[in-house]
Amino acid sequence: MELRRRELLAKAVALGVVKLAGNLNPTAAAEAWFQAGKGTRAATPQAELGPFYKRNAPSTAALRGASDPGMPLAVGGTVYNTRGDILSGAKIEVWQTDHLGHYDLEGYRYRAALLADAQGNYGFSSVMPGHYPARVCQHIHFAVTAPGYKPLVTQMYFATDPVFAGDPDKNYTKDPLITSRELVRPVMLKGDPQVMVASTDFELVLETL
Amino acid sequence: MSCGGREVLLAGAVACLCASAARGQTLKKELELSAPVRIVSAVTCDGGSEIVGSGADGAVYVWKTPSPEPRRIEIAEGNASGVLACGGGKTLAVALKKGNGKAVVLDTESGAVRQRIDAQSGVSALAVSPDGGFLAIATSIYPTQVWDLKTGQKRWTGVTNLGATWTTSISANSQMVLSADEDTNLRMYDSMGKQLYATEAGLLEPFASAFSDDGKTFAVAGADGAIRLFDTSTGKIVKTSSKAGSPIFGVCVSPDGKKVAALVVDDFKLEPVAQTLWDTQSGETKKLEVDPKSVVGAGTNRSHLALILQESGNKLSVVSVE
Repeated sequence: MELRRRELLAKAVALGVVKLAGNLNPTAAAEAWFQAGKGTRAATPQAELGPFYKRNAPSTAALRGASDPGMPLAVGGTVYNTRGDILSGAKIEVWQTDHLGHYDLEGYRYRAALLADAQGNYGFSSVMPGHYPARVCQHIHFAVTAPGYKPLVTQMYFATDPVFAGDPDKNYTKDPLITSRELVRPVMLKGDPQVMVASTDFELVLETL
Repeated sequence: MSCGGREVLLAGAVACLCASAARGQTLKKELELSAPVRIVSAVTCDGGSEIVGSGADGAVYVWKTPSPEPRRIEIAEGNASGVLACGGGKTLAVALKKGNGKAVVLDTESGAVRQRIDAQSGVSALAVSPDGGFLAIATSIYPTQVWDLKTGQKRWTGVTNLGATWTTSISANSQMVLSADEDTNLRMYDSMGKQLYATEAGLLEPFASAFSDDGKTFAVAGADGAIRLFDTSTGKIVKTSSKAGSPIFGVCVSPDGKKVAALVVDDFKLEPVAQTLWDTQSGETKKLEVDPKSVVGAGTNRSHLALILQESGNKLSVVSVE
């Protein structure tokens, strides 16, 4: 798509449909146009850090053990800046309750520190968090850091949460700590009925300092 | 003596006071105060000469002890939340319930509003300097803010690596501000905002902090249920209590600096489950025989630690822990 746009610009310049000012060469102009047209992104809304963050979480993408009870969950996404550039190497700390709503304060169950790969992607396997009594909705905490960017502290929610009664657009404000509808993510069920996995994506967009 | 911690939504249960000699600790009822409404939270001011409480009706109540009858102060700007703190010069700071960061600073003598503060984020803790000169605010989004109470202007804002601040405390000489931050670090500033040092509170969140009267030590506790006593000059841990088994949301250091009272909260329901006393000399921690859900505040009454309890029949009790 982007290449076509560049080719189109080069062709338009050649045909005289687009004229370049004297200080622009066709390659630089095409690149500038390409960059300007690239999708800028709104920063992911911030949310409260919550009371049970813990430093030094392990570097593992497997938060769920093979015999862990609860609905298996796969979460993934890409880390960007607000210009739409991918941020490889961003550090993503995640923590959540188990399927019954308990945080592990003694150890590191359902806690991890991940790094976005060369394409800015991250992913982890877990279980669908339970309802924590002091909060309305099921949620996963995220703290994302990258050099030169404002730390992002946010939370991800699930559109399937019974609290939303099937209509998160209307009901997401039932949890006063949900700062934006955007944080409520659709859930796709994958696999077969014997090995069902709930899958969701959560794009993370950081602002420059 | 000082106390501090993050606001806990108390269950509002009203229970009897079991004043007794319990496992070597004496709980002695010093005062019984009349409370026209349920008191959400309370603090002692000026060594117990005043008790200030935030009422369920959104007003502030001030008891000039030993008189049991309070003076009611209605805040024109809005209802008081449960977050309040007092300091020198009859200064009382109160966060407003629906203010999203708004707080007022009152004269407890006249009830007049001295300053209106907008911290622009939900207030989780307040501390007024003992000289009455400034106010430290912990909010849910920004690092600790310090406001000058003479000018009403913000003096400075602290820093964190991640998140905001759980709670903040000011030393008795009004020279140092402790910020217990969400990145699990403790940062010590001077009153003008120069960071003196940063030190780790542990691996989990620090919810509560308090200086000793002489300022030589400060206590911090939080999600891991242990109380740590730090040397103020170095930021190093001097002593650590055994773990309470649940998070601690409030601590209070005795006037002699030897004991630390702590409010233990269930980590699942976030309800108070115990009021404990840690003897820093012997290392022993004891559970005090009070219903933790009845504890609406802590502070000092003359030379003793004091608990403020909501009793049945809209009465408050001030109980010294000897």
